[in-house]
Amino acid sequence: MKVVIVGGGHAARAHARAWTGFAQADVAGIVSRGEGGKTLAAELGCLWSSDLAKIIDRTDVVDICTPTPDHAQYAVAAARAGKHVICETPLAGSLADARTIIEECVGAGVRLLVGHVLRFRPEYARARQLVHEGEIGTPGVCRLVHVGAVPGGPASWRGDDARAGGCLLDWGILDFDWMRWTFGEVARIHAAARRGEAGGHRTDYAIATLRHESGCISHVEVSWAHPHARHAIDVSGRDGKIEFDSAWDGRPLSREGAGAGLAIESPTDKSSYRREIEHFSACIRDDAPPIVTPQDAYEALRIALAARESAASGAPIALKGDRRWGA
Amino acid sequence: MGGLRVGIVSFAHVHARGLTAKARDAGADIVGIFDDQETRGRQAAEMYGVPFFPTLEALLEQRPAAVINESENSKHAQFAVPCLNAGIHVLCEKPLETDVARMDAMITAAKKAKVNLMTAFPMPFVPAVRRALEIVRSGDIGNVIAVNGSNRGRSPGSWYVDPELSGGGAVIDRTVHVADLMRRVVQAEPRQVYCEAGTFFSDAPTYDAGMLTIGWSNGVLSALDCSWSLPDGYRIWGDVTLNIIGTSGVLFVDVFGQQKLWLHKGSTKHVRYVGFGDDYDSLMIGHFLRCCQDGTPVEITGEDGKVAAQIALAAIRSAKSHRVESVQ
Repeated sequence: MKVVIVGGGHAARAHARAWTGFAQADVAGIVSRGEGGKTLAAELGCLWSSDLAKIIDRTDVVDICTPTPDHAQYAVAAARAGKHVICETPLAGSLADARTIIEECVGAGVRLLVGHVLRFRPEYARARQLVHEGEIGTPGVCRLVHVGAVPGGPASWRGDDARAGGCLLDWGILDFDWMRWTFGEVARIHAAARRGEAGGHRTDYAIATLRHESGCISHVEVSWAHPHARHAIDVSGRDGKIEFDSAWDGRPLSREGAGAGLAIESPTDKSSYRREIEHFSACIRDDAPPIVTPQDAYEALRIALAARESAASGAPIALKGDRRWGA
Repeated sequence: MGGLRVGIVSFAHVHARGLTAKARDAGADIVGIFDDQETRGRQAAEMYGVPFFPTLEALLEQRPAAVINESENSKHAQFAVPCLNAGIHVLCEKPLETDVARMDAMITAAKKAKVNLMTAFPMPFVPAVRRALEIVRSGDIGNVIAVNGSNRGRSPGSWYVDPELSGGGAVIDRTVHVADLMRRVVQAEPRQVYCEAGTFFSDAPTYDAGMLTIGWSNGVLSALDCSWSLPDGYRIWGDVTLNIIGTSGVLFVDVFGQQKLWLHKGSTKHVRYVGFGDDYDSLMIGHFLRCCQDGTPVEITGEDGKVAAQIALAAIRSAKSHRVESVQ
């Protein structure tokens, strides 16, 4: 299977690393506007172009790793060329764009696989499994933590709200998807956020509380104001509790160097991105249903946009309306 | 400590036992116990070898200099106001009360009699908390953007899950300690509260879970988990945590960090926590008794207790209305 990656930044590199060494696929080319993509292509020893149209017939799959507002144009181009689409999160920056992408892929009969990678992160997948297996009884309260310094540095496109949409959309969408996957549809959401900036970086901070239709309450803290990355999962149910906090759990390897500080690594045989692309590849090859569907991606976006709206207005938002989407 | 005369009002609260013992250890002379539930009161009196009094008036005739009020939440004012009116200092369990007018009555009575009304918030006496406040005040983490926290536990059952006597289950029981700590960090007043609350961990008629969002007058944001969400057999009875996010740093405070030396017993296959830190209740009681002795004002006032309770009451209103509620 041939893949062209669109993008030259952080996400493109992470995906490229995942594709490399996966025997069943080859990165046939990189499409990007900037130097980052060119460098990546050189490292991979593959083609580079600034124009997808120029190399699209050399591929089966287009893997979109660009900033969010560019997802739609590449997804539509790929679908119209009969190529399967893998797309980073958020699927799009607006529900209208998300609908367009889904409709074009359905219409063209190509697969649309959206990279909600938390479903492939082992601690998140396992925690969800424990909940669904009834290990803690009916879930009642959940708190997630998703904090760290924003990737990309001061010049990052994430500093531009018109492009990244703020931390509730850009990072929070992964947590909202996991919460919906684990606890079911969301009835209402309340969020609050503070925009921040320091040293050219965005240092936004946000909290969101979801009430699921099941009655379960879930909450996430999303922050770019934390100097160090941390993620945590805490779920309490009628019959038990699940806890994970990267600050002290899941740290099989920690290194200290005089003057170099403390570095923690949690290597796995396959990275989460690798598990994700292997699953997506198998879905394409076998025409099998993915564990994250286009509808899931659309719903996660709906929740994230509602969170942002709630944070802007200060009021909670009820989530209702048409949910069933596409094929 | 010159044997300050202290009366105990009610053994309704689970802390009554500990606070009575610690007051005694701090040198207080326990003059007697009044309890409106006679059987419970007599049992307690026997345990401490002190007289039992079936009425508050009878206890006050013993002329205590101070009382510790351990009654059910919605009875706090009923017992505290007569004591304050009689010129007796009061250390009152939290939440201060379940109704703002009754809280105001207590505060007014204390002012008029020029005596101390202290809310039983021991957390500000924990050295790690004092240190955290010091770090924040020094500007080391910049300006505070947000403070989030948790004060989780398990349902104590009994009157704590009675809507009338408790005033709101977990949402009133588990909010006030951390709300007060947040207020000390933020140094501003709470304006709005949004709360999702529910009953998940038992079949009681009150909330046993709550997730609050608090907006403070200086723009700082808070989230607070006040749920009785720890399962049976959980390794510790509760938690109190604070996450303070500043413009140039982050501070995490595990208030019970020094309560957790883990003892694994092979014979019982049990794990239990063993505290090695300072006893914060003793520090709190010591402060109260010293202030009563010296006639100096306490650090943790009735007003502090009122604001924390107002946050809880706004949360309960929000949990019912599904709207953002103003703190009133």
